[in-house]
Amino acid sequence: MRLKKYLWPILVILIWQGLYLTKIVPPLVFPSLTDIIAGLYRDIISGELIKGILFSFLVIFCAFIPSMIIGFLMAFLSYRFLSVEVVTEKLSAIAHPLPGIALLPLLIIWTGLGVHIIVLIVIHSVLWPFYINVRSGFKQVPGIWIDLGRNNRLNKKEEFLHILLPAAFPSLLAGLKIAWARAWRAVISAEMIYGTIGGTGGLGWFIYNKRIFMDTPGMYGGILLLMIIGLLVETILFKNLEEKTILRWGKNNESYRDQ
Amino acid sequence: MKKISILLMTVILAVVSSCSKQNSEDGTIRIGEQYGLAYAPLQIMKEKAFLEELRPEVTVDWLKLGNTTAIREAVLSGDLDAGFMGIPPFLIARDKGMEWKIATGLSRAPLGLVVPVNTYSNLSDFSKNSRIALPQPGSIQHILLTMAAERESGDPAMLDKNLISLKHPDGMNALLSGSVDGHFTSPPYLFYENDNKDFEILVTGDEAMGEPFTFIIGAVTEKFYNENPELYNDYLAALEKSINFIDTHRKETVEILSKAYSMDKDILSEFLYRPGMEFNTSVKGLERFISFMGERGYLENELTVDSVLF
Repeated sequence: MRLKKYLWPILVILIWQGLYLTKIVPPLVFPSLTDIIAGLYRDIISGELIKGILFSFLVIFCAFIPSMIIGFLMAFLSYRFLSVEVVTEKLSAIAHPLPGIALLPLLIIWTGLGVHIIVLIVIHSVLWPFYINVRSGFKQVPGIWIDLGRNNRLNKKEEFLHILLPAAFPSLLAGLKIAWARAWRAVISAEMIYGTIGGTGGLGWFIYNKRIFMDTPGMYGGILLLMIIGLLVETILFKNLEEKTILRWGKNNESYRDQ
Repeated sequence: MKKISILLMTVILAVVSSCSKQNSEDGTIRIGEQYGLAYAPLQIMKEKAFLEELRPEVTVDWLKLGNTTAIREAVLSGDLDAGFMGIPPFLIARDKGMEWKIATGLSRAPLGLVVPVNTYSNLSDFSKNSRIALPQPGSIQHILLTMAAERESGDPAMLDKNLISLKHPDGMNALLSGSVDGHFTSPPYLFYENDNKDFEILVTGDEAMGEPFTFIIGAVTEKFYNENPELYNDYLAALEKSINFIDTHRKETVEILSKAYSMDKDILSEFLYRPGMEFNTSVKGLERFISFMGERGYLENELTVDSVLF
């Protein structure tokens, strides 16, 4: 079992290096793994890459917090009040399919140039999927559970904390995961299109800059790091969160899966 | 498990082998160009079919791409035999090992840094918070600005913290609306901005460079040059003919180009024949670009004029 886990990465590495050694594809398209690692090391030591990652994280953080609050409030209020739901449902139907990048020129005209543009685009990309997930989480809470709570004379606060929130939590977590991935997508693509001011760009700008100067190993290095970040957040943050909540509450069916 | 791994390998191999389609068939030339007045001869060559006239059996494929980086990548992936761009991006690719050389010059054009009128008298007037828009680092606009900065203050990186990369039309909008303090650009945007009474050119490209230089050059892969020597010569002859056509057939040129660029005929004609717009095949300023970019660390290898020119 343990071997199986490492088989795939090793196979990919072997195929990659094998392809490089055959020289079918020019190294500018398909660089050697050692070049990629060396480039990654060089860019980490020079601080360029670390600065880029921190910058992207900062942008995502600044966009994530307000999106979570607004998205959650929108979902909760539309669960509570029909009049709110009518508005929010329409709004998300209109806004969700719009790619943030399409809003870029409009945002520049309205608000001028600056880092806030990227933050706004990330907010747009995060808010709607998060809202839709939480909303459907609330919607799926069985009415009988609410009745059960009311029969036991739970007040509004207790009903929310002990019935609604735990019941909707799997959807909320799914929303968080999607939002996190969308945030990275948005921040990287916005930076690649929109560029930077001075030296302060994020990981997207880093990758784009490597592209401009035809530093292919550096470009692969940036993308590799992005994958590693995604993997780390998934295994450390989301896995733990899942184990501490959904699994503990018995809301899973993993034991029924075909082995 | 086994099935999956076989499937995966096949997919990987298929993807990789499709990446390496470098076999330019006999009798085909694929040319990559960009948008802009400086590419005018290419539009003429395409619409008047000058190359097809010389070589009726040859297929000429034109690919118009949004930026230099995309052209280089298309050449790299084997989708293009020839591409047009500024000298610095060509040199960066050559330096990184791309096997292509300059086959011809295409155009000279006025370039410059446009700023609000009566606000700046030299580059050191820009403050820490000033913003200067240009297409991207490593572009000819960026290299020229770096040259101007070095000429004035001795520090080529003087304005690097003020740069913001925007495409020409976005940069123009940003300048006109006041969100940036300067825009290093080329025609037609330079003409639009300079014709506006509220803006003036602070540094021209020629001042920054210190000598005349070719704005757009045409590069061809060494593979194409070696395998199709005749077609290569005819390609250059057709280009030469297109360049002459712009001078000799002004009316028809304006007609073709105004349709292709959806620009008003009068404006286009005025822009195209404005002093400073020159179409010819000579390559100027190459040596200065190589030495400057080498000294400033934009190039890693020692390049010489002869090694990058056919």
